[in-house]
Amino acid sequence: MEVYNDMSQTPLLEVRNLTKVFHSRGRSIIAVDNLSFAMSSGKAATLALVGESGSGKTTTGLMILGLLKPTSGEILYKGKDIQKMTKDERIEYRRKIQAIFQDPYEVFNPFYKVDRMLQIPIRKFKLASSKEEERKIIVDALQRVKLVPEEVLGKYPHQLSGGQRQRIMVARALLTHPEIIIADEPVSMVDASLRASILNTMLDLKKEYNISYIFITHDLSLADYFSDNIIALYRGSCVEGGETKVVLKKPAHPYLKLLIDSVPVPDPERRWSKATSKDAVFVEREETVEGCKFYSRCPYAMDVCAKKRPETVMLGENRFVACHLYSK
Amino acid sequence: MSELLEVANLKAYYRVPNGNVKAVDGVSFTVSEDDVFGIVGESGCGKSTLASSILRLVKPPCYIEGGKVLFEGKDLLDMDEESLRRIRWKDLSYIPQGSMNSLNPVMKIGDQFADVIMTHENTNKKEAIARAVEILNEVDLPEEIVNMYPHQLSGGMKQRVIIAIATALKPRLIIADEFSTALDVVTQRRVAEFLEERRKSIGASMINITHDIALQAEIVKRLAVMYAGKMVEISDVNSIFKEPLHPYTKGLISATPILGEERKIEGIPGNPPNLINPPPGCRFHPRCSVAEDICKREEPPLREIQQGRFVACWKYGGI
Repeated sequence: MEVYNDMSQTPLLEVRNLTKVFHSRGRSIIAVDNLSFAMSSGKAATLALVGESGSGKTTTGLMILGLLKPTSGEILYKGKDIQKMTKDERIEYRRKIQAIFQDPYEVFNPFYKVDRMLQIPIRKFKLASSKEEERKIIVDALQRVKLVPEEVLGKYPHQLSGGQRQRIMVARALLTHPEIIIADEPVSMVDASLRASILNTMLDLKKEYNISYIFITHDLSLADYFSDNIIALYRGSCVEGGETKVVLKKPAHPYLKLLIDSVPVPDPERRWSKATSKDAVFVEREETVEGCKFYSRCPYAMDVCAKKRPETVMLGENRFVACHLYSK
Repeated sequence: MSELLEVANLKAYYRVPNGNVKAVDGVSFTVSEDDVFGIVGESGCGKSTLASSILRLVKPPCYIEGGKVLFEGKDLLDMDEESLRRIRWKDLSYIPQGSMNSLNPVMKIGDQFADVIMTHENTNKKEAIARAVEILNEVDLPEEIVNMYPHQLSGGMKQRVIIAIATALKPRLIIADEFSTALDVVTQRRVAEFLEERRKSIGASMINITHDIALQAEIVKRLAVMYAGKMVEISDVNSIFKEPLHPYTKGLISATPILGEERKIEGIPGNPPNLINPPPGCRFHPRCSVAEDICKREEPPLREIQQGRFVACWKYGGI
């Protein structure tokens, strides 16, 4: 499957035929299955990776971050394979690609003040030449994420709210002047009233500092709000992708349609209407399907779907779907 | 509609070294026959403590400071343990948060079903299993589940089993706390529909507790909004979304993105208060953009300002 945006210049980040297979007790689980996409350099844009649990979205993020080795496939940063980088190139890559994770409660060491969380990257990447400069960089980063430095510095993690902790993680990611931030469910553990302002701050940073995001989420309403482009994953495979507004308004793939129909809408006058598809009854053990992975749940399944893996079909410029309904 | 449950001025506090955490602090509401009553609020607002205090299931350091919980006219808070035990599950059923992980992993589903039935009804194991099969048929779940272990079921199916067990004795009221957390959206929707079908078929009322205001919009008939241990607004669900009254309710709705709508979402500034020393006056006033002097001094009571619409805010009439 060769799915990526057609671009004349070298993409900022490109993922080619990325695959990750986990082995567990004699079974192999294909977490990410031949995934390809690209993010253009130039104007910052947000790519949302959406899917349910087990779709491979987090695994993809970890591989891009270099925290997990792909089974096969390549990750290219400005045309260079991150597996084949020299030590210096790798350090540079780690500076330019930062991460924000889901749980702002887990990432902090409860025995240290939050200051330490911000000092580590400064010291690791030698961003400051003196204590004063270090302090200045930290204060500056905290202000950029709309925290009042005096309110958070010198505190222990338990003294801060989930929203404040997650803002500190955004500030930490900013320290190294990244080009891409991989945000894996950054607000799913943050309360609704604080969530909106964190997302808005992240959107401001994108504009102000030209930072692109890979936004990993299960929440389509958030993906719709936050991203420019979207890729929907199902059990490790890309089922559909394109410009977020276009894709979510008129989804082509039956799985994405099903997902969209299931999202709760905060409007009691537009409640769920009767659905047609089924969800999984038993634990799904069948990992090696020959045909389409969605076959058993698809309301439009045809004979060919059981036998042959659907190829990716372009539906327009920068718009693709992997479904036999659209095969020519 | 008669009142099935009446909660009056209920208070549940946690004793901690530097004072009391007032997690539920003077909550009053009623649930009538065939009602689906939602409670929405953010983490730490006291909604789960409220659920366990209604059932008198709070454990130290939490204790019930005062109030009444009238269920079919009888106060559950004054009742002796034995009578209360008979009401729980049979008349008043509870689906606590994370309950699908409370299925015993080394017991077949049928045996877990039978345990509940045998505890409350005078039957032997064989009859209880037969009843379990009957109930599974009633709720349209595959019969072979009785001989399966929890790990063989998907998350959604485990949650359905929990619902089937919780409603096996046809309770009058179901209290569900975050019944769909950890489920994917497709499954969440199916389980929500399953729960509603079951509720209707046994003629029960339900209290549904979740932090997810969009999910409440799909499910409930009436909605209560809880903030810092208090109910700030109670109303029928349509009115609350059409015209929210309390500034906190307004804030929650405008912080929630709607799929397919281009609308900038806005957060609520500040953080929820510490419930050991909550702010004086209205507990929301430090985060409220329309707060006035009175809001900082005096606590607004929850008042019915229109038929069936309750709000605790000084904006809707002073003293």
